Amino acid sequence: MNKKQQDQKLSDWLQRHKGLLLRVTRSFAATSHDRDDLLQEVVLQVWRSIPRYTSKVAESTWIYRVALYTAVSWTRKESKHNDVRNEFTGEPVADAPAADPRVDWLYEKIAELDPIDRSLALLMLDGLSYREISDTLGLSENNVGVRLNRIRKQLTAKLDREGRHEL
Amino acid sequence: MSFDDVQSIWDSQQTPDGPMDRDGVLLSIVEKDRSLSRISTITDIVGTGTLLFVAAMFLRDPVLQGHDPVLIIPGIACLGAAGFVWKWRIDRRRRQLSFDDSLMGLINKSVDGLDDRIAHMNRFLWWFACPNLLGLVIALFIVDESKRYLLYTIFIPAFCACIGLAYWQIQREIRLKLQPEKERLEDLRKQLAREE
Repeated sequence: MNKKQQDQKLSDWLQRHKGLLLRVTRSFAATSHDRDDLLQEVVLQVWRSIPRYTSKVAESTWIYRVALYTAVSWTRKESKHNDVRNEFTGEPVADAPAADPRVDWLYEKIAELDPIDRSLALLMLDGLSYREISDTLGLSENNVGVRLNRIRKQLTAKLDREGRHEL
Repeated sequence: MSFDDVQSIWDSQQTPDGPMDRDGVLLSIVEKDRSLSRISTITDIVGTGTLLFVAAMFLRDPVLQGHDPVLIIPGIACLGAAGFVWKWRIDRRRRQLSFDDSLMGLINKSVDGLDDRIAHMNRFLWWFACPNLLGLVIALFIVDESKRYLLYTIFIPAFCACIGLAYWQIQREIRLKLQPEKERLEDLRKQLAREE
């Protein structure tokens, strides 16, 4: 694959999977500046991964894999300097999509999870099957199921407890 | 309330309509990629070039003027070290992270890669120091008495300073960047492998 084809493929993927990339970056980075930074890093890694992509894996699964790996690594580097708990209480995000307080609230709750559970929550909410999640993260399906049950309970409990007042 | 309510909140979000500047993004990542590879290329060229220069210095007298043939030994050692530096570069490019794996697989590869890099950085110093040290030791035996002071006042102190600084910089890089990064990844791997 030459560079032109690689660029073309990236352009095509950005067009079709923009939502996925933005959801991942929004879940892992708090401020607009951080999101831009992370998005650039994710897109760079996606671009580098293109020559190794084979159609054995669905495009979205592949992109998720690259994006989550990059985001998780990025978060752990960044968290040395920023307290993760304060991420979402910082400056307002300038480029946040049309404000829906419920969606903002959900992203805040996802951000409170550790990076692995955050990845699991994202994959689950985006409708991936246990099998796909297990393939993407390298966990057993059983482990995925147990963890997702716990995350579901956590999120529902938070919605029950806080959602009534905040939303 | 049930999890369906959480799911419906998630599903209600819309992909931002704002166009993503694909050309801009593409341009910036290609530039970033180039600048990263430019830095490592320059470092490798400087390392290899220095060793080739030192090799040429050692080989000049025995090859061109036919005296002090013993200097061929450190000259060849420097050429070998230059080859090692270049091979390291080729291996590093081959090793670049491949994404045809799960998150766990990628983390394992990264940890292996970091281990390998730490080992290479430690070995790298020896590849630089040994040929030059060999040359200096030989020089101690064959140098003209009239020029011996140059060894003691310039070459040996310069060699010690260069190797000392290189050692300090390598250990600093390992201690401040590579080791913490490895610990973070290992911690992540534990988190991921944790069975509920």
